[in-house]
Amino acid sequence: MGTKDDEYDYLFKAHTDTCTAFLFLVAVVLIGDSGVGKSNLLSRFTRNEFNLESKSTIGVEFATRSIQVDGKTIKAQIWDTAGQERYRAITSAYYRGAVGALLVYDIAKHLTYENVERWLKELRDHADNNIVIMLVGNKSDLRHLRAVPTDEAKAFAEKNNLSFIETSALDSTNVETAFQNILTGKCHLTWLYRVAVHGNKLHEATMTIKIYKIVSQKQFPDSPEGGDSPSNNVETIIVAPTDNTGGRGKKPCCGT
Amino acid sequence: MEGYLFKRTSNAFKSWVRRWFTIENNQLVYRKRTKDSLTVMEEDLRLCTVRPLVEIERRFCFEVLSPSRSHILQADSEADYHAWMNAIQAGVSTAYNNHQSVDKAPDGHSDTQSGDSSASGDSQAKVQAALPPSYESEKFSRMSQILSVAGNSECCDCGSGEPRWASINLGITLCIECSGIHRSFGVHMSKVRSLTLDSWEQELLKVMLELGNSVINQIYEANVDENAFKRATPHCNREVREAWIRAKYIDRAFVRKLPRPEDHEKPSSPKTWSVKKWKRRSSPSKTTESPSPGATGTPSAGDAPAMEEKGTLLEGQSQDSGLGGSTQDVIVFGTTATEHPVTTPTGEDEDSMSEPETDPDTQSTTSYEDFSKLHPDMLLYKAARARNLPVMREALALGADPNWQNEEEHHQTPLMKAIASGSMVPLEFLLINGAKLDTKDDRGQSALHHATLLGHTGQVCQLLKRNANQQAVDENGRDPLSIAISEANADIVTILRLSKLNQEMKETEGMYGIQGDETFNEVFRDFTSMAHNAPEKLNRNK
Repeated sequence: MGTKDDEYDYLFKAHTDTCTAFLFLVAVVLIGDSGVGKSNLLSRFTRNEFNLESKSTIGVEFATRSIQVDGKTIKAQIWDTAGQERYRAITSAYYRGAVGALLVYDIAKHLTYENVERWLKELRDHADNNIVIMLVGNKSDLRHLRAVPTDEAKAFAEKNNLSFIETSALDSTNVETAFQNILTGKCHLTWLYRVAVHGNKLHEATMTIKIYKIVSQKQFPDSPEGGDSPSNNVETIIVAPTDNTGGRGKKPCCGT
Repeated sequence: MEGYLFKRTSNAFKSWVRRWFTIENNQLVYRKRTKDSLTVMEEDLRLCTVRPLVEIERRFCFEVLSPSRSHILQADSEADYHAWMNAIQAGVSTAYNNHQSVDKAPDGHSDTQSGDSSASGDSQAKVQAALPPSYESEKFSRMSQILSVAGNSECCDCGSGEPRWASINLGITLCIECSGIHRSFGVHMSKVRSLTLDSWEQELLKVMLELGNSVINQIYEANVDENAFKRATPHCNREVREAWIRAKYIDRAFVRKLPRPEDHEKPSSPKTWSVKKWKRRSSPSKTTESPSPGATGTPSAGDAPAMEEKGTLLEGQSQDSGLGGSTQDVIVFGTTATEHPVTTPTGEDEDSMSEPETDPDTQSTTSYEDFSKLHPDMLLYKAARARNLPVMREALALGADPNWQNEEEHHQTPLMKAIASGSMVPLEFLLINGAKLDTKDDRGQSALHHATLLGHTGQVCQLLKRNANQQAVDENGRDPLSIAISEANADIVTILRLSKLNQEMKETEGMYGIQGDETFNEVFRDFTSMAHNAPEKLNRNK
């Protein structure tokens, strides 16, 4: 089946007619400590607004925005969760169906960076194994107050196979890029597949082949099918849970 | 018959997903993979029809139509396509033939298909063997729980053994023949489900476990004039059966009437009444014996237990038997029926979630009402608060209006009192018995407002699942979401927003799927099962 890129081209570009039959809906979750600016990242991205006096989020808030990728419209549904413990809902609600997570910390508050480990653990415990995670150091405008060196965070991200970016919701730096990356990483095949089935959860990478067959079914209806029981038709494609090649510096992991 | 089919999703995307389909016991079910749980696509193929689809972008497509839904499916090959069409059609006709042979009811559809029943029978056997054990055992445990409730091992109406059907709103088990008659009267009278085939929500199972044939027959067959009515028996003909069921549930001919207020003007008669509150069966030692401690501290403490100890209280109708000449002050409805021991699902009970310890009203009965206020509507209202399903059922049998509003208490409805009880069970019971979701009290608050204010997460899910209106504002202009935010109840905020999002997606994207977004449904399922199995998790704020 070639490389992931080949497959991406095959599935996503070559079969425009098939792909346009789908409305791509991607759910992304924003997590991180209280006060790191998750809600402002969201409002900057979806409404281009910033509120210095925003209140603590209770439970979860939603916003949507549509973006264009390879001529297709992708509807991003962003779940902005409460950082503060007592305002957090039962976690099973948050991570259902999320294909990407922006794990946000405040570059001026070291504790929020230290807690990234805890958030990663929560993601591993509750989110889909294939969720794409991007570490986001927010408030990059607060240069004089920086408590978390960029290199340190970058190294941490690499070690944990996360993409990494620094943003400022206040002056808009990199906000667009961060969301674009998480929403459009074409190397994230799992993401593509999940989009193809309308953002529903697919628990294992093995499921990806099924979507491949849905697409190929139409193009080549005479191509031989696998067996006809759930157990013997699954060809396993190993898909890396996250992209570990992209995301260095500000370069989008998947390029254009 | 089983195998992979593509199914077109019912949401706006009309995308196709591949699922493993099986026809078993006249149901069309599917799952993603063997170990996944089953989804029932059509629970009764008798009600369905199948037809080929040609004007569609794919080949080998067919459509399964039920009265309310349509499913578009695609087979892998022409051979498969014919095999599936035949199998579904065979399922339809087998089911029909089976039904007809026991029912002997002539029906206009009988000429559609016939003859393929043997094929379908074979495939059914195959499917049975292929079912994962967990599904079977879950089904089995649910069925044995329901059948272990007093009286449930025999059909509630004719006494046939091994009933495999249930009327969920009445809370009874039925044989196939009686269930057919129930069904013919329409869902407002009786909502019939299969014990073996249908999927059951936990709250519904609990409704069943708290009623049962003995309880129901104490209500609906309290006063049977055997000379005037011919009882249905396991082998009676359809006319007798139908007449009996009609008299029993529609005419409610055998229900014992409530005592009239004027009957209680004699000095020796009770002056007040109340309803016994349901108690968790897990509470030690009080389950089977006569419950007396509840009456302590009430004005009539000495009398109520005395009455109960006589053991004559059946369904709150004890006043006829237990009172003669004594100086009882109070009649307590539902003192025995609620205590009958039944097997309960493991890991319950959701009632601890909401107001167990915080409920200031720790008495075992509702507050006492004067006899002038003893009428079916008020009885239902009080019983809903007491979370006492047998008495609620009795009140309905006496003609209570599930949408009655109590003018003396802010025009609240029984539904709101069920909310106050904190339990999903009486709420479910009222909702399947015709209670309207969005009625407001005189403060402009709906049931959803009440559940939100009280922080009853499971109930909020229950109401939203049924599309309760969450835009409604009360007299202070507050909708449920703003209440949840000011109460800082993160779970309810999340559920309300998620439901709102789901609604918006449906509207803007033109999603018309009955099921709605899958993520939404899953989150709701999570919360609901949490409310049943781990209520303490939901009770963690403050």
